[in-house]
Amino acid sequence: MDDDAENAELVRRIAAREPRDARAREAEVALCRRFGPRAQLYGRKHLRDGERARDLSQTVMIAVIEAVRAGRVEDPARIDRFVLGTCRNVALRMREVDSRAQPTATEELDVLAVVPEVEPMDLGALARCLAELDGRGRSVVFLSFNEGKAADDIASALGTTAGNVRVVRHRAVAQLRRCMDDCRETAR
Amino acid sequence: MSRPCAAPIGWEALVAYWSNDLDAGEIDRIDEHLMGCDPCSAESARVAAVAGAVRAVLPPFVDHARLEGLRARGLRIRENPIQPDERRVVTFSADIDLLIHKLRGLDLTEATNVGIAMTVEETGELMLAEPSVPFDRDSGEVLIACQVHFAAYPPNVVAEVRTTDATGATRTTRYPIPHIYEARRPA
Repeated sequence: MDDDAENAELVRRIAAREPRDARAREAEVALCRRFGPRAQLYGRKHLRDGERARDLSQTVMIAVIEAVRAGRVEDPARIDRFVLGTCRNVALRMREVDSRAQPTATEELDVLAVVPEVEPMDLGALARCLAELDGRGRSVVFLSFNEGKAADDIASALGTTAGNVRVVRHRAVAQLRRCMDDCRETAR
Repeated sequence: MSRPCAAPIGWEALVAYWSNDLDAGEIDRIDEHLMGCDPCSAESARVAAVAGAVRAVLPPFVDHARLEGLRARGLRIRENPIQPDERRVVTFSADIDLLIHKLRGLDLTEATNVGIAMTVEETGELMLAEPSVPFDRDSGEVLIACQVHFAAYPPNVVAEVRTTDATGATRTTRYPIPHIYEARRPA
């Protein structure tokens, strides 16, 4: 069974739920475990705040589960598109009100309890890993992520091309990633 | 166990995505793919963790308002005022969280931009180049937030401050800063 078929099966089990239906409940948990982290990642990308991303994920998954229960998902095999559409709507609303959306409780489902946490940050490891980057890589990483500067701006500041900045950046992030993985392994 | 992706999003594209270096259409396309793809979503989360961590660390250059904010949060801060070309060894002692190098003797009243390049004193290797650092025009100084993890860098560094005014004229001022990092007890 491929992912779409699996998703469709989960949606059908939830939509056909009877009171105290354990299989429907399991399907809801499975759907949250699958899409909750992705919705949270969407929030981190588009809201740029970890806590608001968690709020978004919770609000989205509650809305999705309620829609599935109510039979409002037209194409169960493409529930991913429904989740994404809900993410976009919720993010838009959160940006418009410029405050946290207040998730409402839904019956029999604690979304936060079933959505896995995203990777915790180890800033000590990051510091050691940043120190191992060459100067240019470190500058590009800081300017990109800490200062939020565009590749063109970084290029003119460092006297190079935007293309070169992009190459330096993705190599530096890969090196940081490997280094942070190594630090985590060592800590175990 | 997730199934492999038939058309995975490459690392470079994911880094560009998390760097906000893609147009809106491309971001939409990646959003759609990630929402439906477990392996690519997991890989994206790995990039996001790095981007988020870098975003969360204290930048090496701060202004006075940020310094006061850090003090208000209870950080143990020692200030190290330095004049141009003064070479005085400074110790990052174990009893502080932050060492603020105050690079003084700068006329910033007409400055439109201040950039700093940090190099290794012995080799001249560029460690860090920040083309535009925060500064307070009336203060006559710029601030470097030296952090304990900088112990991983070479100890003898040179900060070259480049100020630019409205006419485009630039002036470079040099501050050699040799460091000693005191050993810390494990937490």
